[in-house]
Amino acid sequence: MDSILALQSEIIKAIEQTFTMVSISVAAAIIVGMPVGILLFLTAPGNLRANRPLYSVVSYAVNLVRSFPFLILLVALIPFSRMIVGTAIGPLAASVSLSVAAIPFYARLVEQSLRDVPKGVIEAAVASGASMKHIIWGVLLSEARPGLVSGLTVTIISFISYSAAAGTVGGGGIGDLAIRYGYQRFETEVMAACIVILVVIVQLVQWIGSFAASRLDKRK
Amino acid sequence: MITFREVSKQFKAGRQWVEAVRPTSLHVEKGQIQGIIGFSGAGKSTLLRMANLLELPTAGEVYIDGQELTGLSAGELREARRSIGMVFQHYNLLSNETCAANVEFVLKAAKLPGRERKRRAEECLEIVGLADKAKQYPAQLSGGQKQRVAIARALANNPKVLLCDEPTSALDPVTTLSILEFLEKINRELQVTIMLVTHEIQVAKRLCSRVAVMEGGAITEQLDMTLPEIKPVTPLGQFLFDTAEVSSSSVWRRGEGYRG
Repeated sequence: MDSILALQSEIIKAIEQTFTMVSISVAAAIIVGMPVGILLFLTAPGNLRANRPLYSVVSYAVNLVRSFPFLILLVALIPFSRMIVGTAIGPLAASVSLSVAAIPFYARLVEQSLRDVPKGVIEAAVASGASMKHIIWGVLLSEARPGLVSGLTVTIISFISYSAAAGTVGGGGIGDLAIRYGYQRFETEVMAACIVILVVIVQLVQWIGSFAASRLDKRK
Repeated sequence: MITFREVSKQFKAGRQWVEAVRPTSLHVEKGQIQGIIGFSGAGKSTLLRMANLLELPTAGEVYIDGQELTGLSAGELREARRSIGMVFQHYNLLSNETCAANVEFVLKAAKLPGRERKRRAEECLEIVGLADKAKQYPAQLSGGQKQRVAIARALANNPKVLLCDEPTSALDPVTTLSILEFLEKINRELQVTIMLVTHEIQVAKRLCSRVAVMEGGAITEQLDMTLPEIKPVTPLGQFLFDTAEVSSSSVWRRGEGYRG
């Protein structure tokens, strides 16, 4: 117990760092990943803006980034992080790599949820003379709402876990704390405390995500 | 009002080309209810869907109210589609939006300002007798009610033409009757030209002023339903109308009875 109390301020700092990294990468997932997912959906063969070359290029790029083990991506992007945030260490630098990983991750989930929108509903909108922008906002994003939120929940939870690797570049965070104190220094209590914190956070995120998704779903 | 001139449609299914619609011409006068009847795979839905270019013809031209759709730019086509309503077999309503919002969607597509959208949506739901369901979601409605909302949506922009793709095929006979009566009323009161695809001869008999029989991607005959006696000459036409006599079934009669 003493070791945990002694590390209280460290733990709070770690929670903040995790929060920073996850918020930034999830924001990137929404701001960039969602449009990429929409692009993938629209340009896929047989869809509204079918464009095989464009689809192939974007899809290939998404697969490429997703196939990197995260730790390797993190290291490979060190020069890029330095360019963007001016440093290669710390939570902000780790956020750059996390964002690069989060964008294609969420883009695929967005593409998948959009595919679940019934073709007929999209067709009815096309038949009514709606513009592409109107169809994207009023049909695709509206009908896929529950799936988009569930996908976001999955993304947040995955990136809480990915952020543990951020310790490699001094990114900090709860996962990093658990590894440094709990694993490398055999301070089991600290490890346990970190895991409990992570479990609580993940449960909470999942609970909020599931609740929001079911509230948004009017198909019942 | 609707003219197909030598339209045809070919699909590539696997390695071979399938001729869904062979070169076909059809003219529908203003105010008519034109039925298209045939078995599945006859090409009737494909033909209907060419009327608003949901299906692009491989060759031929489509005219709506004198305007050639096949030659329009993307923007002009969107504009033209606003005066062509469409109703589908499976309603195709937005499931995460209320009934009112479903109607408002197409009004927004036609760039109607916000307040007018609300008013017009209420008006349209009133026409189909569902004003009280405005704030409900489609999942809370019965099949017939969903189709009424879909009709309200199709009528919202005061279309000249209403395309109906098997509008009653997912409904029970009693509900089918009420939807047909309703389409008849729209045609009469709003002077909307209707083109309707069905595989049910009863639907065609009940509603249409003219019926085209389709087989193998081509219209094989056109029947005038306003004549006192209808004499199909093709084997398919005869078959459809003969079985219709046999199956003027108790269900349909009972359906009539239900409606009083």
